[in-house]
Amino acid sequence: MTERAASALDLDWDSPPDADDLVREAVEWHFNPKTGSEFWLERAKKLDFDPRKDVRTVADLTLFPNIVDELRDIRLETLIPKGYASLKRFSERPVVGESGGTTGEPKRVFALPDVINHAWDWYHRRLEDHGITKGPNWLGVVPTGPHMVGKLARDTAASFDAIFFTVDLDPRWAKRLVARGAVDELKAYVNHLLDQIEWILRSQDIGVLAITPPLLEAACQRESLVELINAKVRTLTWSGASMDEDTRHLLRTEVFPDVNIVGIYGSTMIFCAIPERRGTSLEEPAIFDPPSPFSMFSVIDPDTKESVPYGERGQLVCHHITRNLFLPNNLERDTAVRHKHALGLAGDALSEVKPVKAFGDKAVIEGVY
Amino acid sequence: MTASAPARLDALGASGPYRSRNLEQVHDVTGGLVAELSLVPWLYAQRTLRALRAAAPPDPARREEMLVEAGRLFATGTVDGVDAETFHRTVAAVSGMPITAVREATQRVGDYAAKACASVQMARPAGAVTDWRDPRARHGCGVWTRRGEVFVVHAPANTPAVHSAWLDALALGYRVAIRPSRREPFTPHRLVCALRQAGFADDQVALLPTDHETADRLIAEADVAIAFGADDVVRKYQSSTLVLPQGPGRSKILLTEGVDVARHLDTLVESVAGHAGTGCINATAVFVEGDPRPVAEAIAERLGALPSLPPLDERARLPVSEVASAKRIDDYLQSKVDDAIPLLGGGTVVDELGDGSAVLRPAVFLLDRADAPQARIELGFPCVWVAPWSRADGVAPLRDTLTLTVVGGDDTLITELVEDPTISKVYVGDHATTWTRPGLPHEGYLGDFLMHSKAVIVG
Repeated sequence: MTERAASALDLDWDSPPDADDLVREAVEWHFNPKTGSEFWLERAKKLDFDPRKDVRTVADLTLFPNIVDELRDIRLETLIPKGYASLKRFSERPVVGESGGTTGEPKRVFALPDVINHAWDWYHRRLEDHGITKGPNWLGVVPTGPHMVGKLARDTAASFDAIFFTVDLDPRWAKRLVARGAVDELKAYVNHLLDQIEWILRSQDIGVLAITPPLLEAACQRESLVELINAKVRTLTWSGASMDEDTRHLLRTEVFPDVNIVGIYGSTMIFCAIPERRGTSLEEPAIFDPPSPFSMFSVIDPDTKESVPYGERGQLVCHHITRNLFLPNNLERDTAVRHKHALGLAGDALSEVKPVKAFGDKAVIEGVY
Repeated sequence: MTASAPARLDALGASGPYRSRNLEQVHDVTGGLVAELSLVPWLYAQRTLRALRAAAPPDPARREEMLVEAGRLFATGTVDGVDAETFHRTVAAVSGMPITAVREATQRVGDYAAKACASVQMARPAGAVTDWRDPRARHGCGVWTRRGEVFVVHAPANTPAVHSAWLDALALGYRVAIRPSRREPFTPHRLVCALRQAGFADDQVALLPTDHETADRLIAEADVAIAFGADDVVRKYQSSTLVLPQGPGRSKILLTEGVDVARHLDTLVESVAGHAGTGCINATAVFVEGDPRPVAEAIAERLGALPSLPPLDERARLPVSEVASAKRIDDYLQSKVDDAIPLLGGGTVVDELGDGSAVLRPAVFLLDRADAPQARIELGFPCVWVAPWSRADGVAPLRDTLTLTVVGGDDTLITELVEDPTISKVYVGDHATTWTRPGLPHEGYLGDFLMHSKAVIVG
């Protein structure tokens, strides 16, 4: 065991350290000239505080500016802490993950095996909590390519000793079609995907279906697909986009009443996927408890920066703190309802995440309608 | 308005009323909360459309019985626990349309329902019969059939009267899903409830309130659809054979030389300001062969005398909006005036009532040429542009028109107007642009769009 193995940064995500301890170790690692990344060491010069001295607690994380927009165009190598070179633990190259790319150029991060293992193991155990067992085959209808959710689905299926079936899908192209109102083209693309899903579901024994909410809704338009899913799929996970509670309720009560439906909240900027809290009633929303303190949420009033009361909606702030990445105080464009963390860990749990409402429908003045 | 709890307006799906978690607040023109409207998610909407598509329509005789009864219930009965007068008051309070105009428009919808089955037959081609069992089919003939099964209506809120449009589709055996305007969902909610109360099954006619994005998807999933909106909606759908866009009416009046304006002033005023000037059939422009000023002055004098009153006042004749939205409309209008001479409504048309609402006062502008661009500006209150016109200007300024009333005029001119493909209705003589009756086309017969004819020979 090296000295570092006892560090808060290396603990299993199910054995969380004290959050403030983690923060102190993280700033020491990421801002020490010997171990920090080129990105943070350069960026620190522009800060009006010294992270290694002045950041001692979770609350101090709000001192940091939101830097995630800079992840759109920096060289990936500059993000990797120099300390890894001396660790010699990893011969593998980093895995690159990108954000959705909805708001312009995607943001780009990396992960090394230490953090991937922690995040994936944690995810695997949460799915076990939801009743997924070894054996049944998986069908992944989630984006691959630069989107980490595809890799997560494939790796997790492997961790359950499952055969993994999948289809290609390109959500950025779909979003472009939506943006320019190309309804027919979008329909054609979705049908192309649904055909492929149907071929697999018809011929293969699929027990676990990992799918995005828009495609799940599209699948519901085909009676044949609804029947196949009801006949074969025991657990269905949705992730990659938000799902409104009305839709979730209909899916659970009317469309797939006997399927175990598990919502997943994930984002590249927190580098984890969070299955919904177990055991909530049909009338409750899906609540997401993050692997705090490695990934933490705050739900705040954007004007006062204070937390909103529990049960109320506010804007989402994310912190991601691992040996790989230090992404504190990231004010997201999403809003969510604030909940207490189920395990009493630092930060908030979330429900009903949705994008900040755009500026509404443009007021039409001329005409009588 | 009232201190009571807001009304609950459920969606009306294929298996009954549906209350969502996603509620949209509906306010009256003073900003008071009146109702909470359930907005359905896309999953619910698409499942409803599928249930509608799978359902078989009642036979034609039964449809007629039920439409007649629904019309009676809608106009005068108690529907979903709400009597007609309460309904009228709610629509007036929410839409700002004067209560008397609401009553009249509502009655018109009820009357129309009773006649819808007969009225739609006016659109049937002379060579087509309604049923393949008709004896004429033994020798071969056209049979008039639906182009699809599910008709989606993207409805507007300008007047309750627009909801008579989709009754044609029910009469023809379509299953109909209405996406109401979130500003005034009460009229379609009551009409769908009345139809169900009269016997239409839940999978025959549905009310699907949605957000904007879902509305577009509803239209994309329909077999055929009608969408009301501004020029952008028309542009979006004009090349589609499955979506019928209903754009601005830009109705007009032409007074030819020598016409005695005083004799037709009532017709002019009714055309501009009837039904509070909120309709596509209200005149947007008046063209005068000769000096337009006396005509504009006469209209301005009459319209200027209309009182500013809240919508529930029996004497109210003008539309009322929330102050902020009235100001937006006014800003838009004033920014477009340019070289037009205001005779009424120059400066502002907003007359605040002090309770958070404002009357949109009439506006009358004088233009100096027939092709002035302002003559095409249609707004949801009495606003009219009066312009000179001469034979040399020709038909061009009169084009793109829902209703064109021509007073005077010779055969050559009238033939040209009747033959013009961009003019939908031509009323010659002393007829207000707002005049109509069941059985007449309105931007064509809806039946032209909903139906087609196929050749059938039997035996």
